[in-house]
Amino acid sequence: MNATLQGISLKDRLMSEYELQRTALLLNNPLLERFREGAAKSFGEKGFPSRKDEEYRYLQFNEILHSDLSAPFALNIDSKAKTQLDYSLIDESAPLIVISNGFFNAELSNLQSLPEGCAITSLATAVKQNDKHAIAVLGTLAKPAKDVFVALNSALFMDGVFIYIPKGIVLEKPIQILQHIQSEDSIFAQPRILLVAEKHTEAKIVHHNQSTRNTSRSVSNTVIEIELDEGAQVEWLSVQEEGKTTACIVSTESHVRKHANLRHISVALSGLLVRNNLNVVLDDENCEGHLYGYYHPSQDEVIDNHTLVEHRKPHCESNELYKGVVDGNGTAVFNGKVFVEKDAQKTNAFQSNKNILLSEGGSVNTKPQLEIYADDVKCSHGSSTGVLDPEQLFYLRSRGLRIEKARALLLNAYAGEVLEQIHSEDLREKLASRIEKLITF
Amino acid sequence: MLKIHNLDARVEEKEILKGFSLEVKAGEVHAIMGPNGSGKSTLAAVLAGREEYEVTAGEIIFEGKDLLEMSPEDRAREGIFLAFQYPVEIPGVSITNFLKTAIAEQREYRGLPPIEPKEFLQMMKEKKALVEMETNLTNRSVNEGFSGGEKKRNEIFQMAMLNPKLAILDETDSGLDIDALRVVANGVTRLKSPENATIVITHYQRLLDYIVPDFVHVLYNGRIVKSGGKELALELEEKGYDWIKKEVATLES
Repeated sequence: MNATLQGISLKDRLMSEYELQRTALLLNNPLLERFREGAAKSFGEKGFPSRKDEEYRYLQFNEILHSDLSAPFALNIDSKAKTQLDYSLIDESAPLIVISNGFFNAELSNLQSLPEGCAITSLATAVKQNDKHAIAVLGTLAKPAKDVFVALNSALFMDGVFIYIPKGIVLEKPIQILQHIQSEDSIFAQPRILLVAEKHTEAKIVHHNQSTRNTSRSVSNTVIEIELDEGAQVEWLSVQEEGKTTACIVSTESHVRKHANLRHISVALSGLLVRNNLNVVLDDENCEGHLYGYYHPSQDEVIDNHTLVEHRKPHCESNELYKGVVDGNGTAVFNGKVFVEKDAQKTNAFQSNKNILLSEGGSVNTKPQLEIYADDVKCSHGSSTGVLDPEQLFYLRSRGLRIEKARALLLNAYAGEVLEQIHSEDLREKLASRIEKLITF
Repeated sequence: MLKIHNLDARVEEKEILKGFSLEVKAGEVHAIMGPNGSGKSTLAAVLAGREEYEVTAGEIIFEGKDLLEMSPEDRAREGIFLAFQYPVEIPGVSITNFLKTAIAEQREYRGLPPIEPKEFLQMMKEKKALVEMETNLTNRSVNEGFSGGEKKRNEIFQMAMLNPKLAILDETDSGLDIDALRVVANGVTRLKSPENATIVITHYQRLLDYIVPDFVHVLYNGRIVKSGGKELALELEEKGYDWIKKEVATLES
């Protein structure tokens, strides 16, 4: 998009990188060829979004998608990475996956405590070995034709992680993913994460994006595909704490089958730009999708959450609650769509978006959308944007709380409605205290 | 303890208090009665420090300090407590957490060490018994989904926990049935001591059957037009406020 001194746009550079690396990108698996070709073609046709693009209208990509970015084709990271990671949300007794610059970092990962039958491997390995469970899902949920960032990732991803939970396995401990960028050069990382939860499995995933110590002007473009088979129960917690120079784009495509239940909790706390596309397809009867989000852009940060829940079959339920606090010159975007297809009778679908503005300079753009093609459903949606309630503040102050303390208490309670959805008290408390630290006066 | 001298106060350009004066000493209970619109709630709001009320003349001295110079929180820390007419609901903040924070803030201001958790729990238990409050109510969010009676009880419970020098009860009796009224009033009476004082703001006399005042003042048109002992409240109950209004009219003409 941007012309550089050399006159090569980022799009052209990435396309030529694709051409040069075609063989390496096959990951020794000829089955990938058509998928890569199609993805590259989609990316080439779409190009990066401009502000005229409805889906990306609040994002200013000019500075972020600069032409010095390049996609890495090998993991190139020095050994001090370990000491620079933030392990504070990590349970040492549970499996840990570290994804560095888009690559599975075997040296820093710890998969010893994995129950029998489960598999966690680098995605590149799974593709090279033609793992049937991985190949069956890869690219089928996140379709390149739908979105430019999905297309780009599909064309250029080199690695990531594949998580396989076989039938009937109940995981007591969470599977943890630490994902970061640490690079002197500006990189456009393309990690890809696949989760296959077979029938009647239970799992919790903690996905912590953290590039707080990265100083290069980098971007991570992650694609996550989640397949929940019959009766599977999955809680996915996404925590985003990116550095001031790192942009984070995450596209999550999940597919929920009969009696399965996905709880997705997103806590986006910082980053130059954070964009989440979260799509949940309820594709069979009696399944549930629960989407909770808390976001807190401050300074000049932008946090943009796009969610889509598709009700395709009868008797399903979806609940969505996204709450934000906007400080400084921060910008929050919420765009939530709920589709109820013609067949999806007896659907219960609820969506709510709430925002609190703490500063004059902050802005909120919210667009809840409900499209219903069935006639026997219970659906509601709503959004609100306001300031902290002056009556509540006065009440607290009249009992002796400093105004700062009163505000912190109210904001903590506000975030608590989302955080209480997280299974672990330890994580809830740690995230609450991180949120408290974000509050400036 | 409290000296209010010639106070003028207004809200949204409307003069409400006009030359209001009152002196309250430690150990005393004062009742302020008056017809609707006489300025009762404005008085409570000005004492607690609501910013939308503007004081245009006069002074309020509390324990030798200029109250009007203080933020709402500093007034509370100096020992003033307002029991709200309409207590606010605060979803997500439990009563326990709220009071723990309030006590910590007040003690810090007064240079006291933090309260021991055990002592705090013991105090919670005692004070809950005092206002006959259900034990599990304190785990709930402040006032959220509370009945009118529970809200008022919660106000007196907070008052008991914070142990103020001066408590101002703003229409605490409104919306209470007789049982709740008795419980709330008993709580207030048992908290009375020679060191603290209470101002009871009310429209009706019935609360004063339980909280016996030392002085009764009639507020009308923004100032006190008549003061007397507890028998004045009974007289008002019997005769209403019209005779006071006539008296004032005669005096002014």
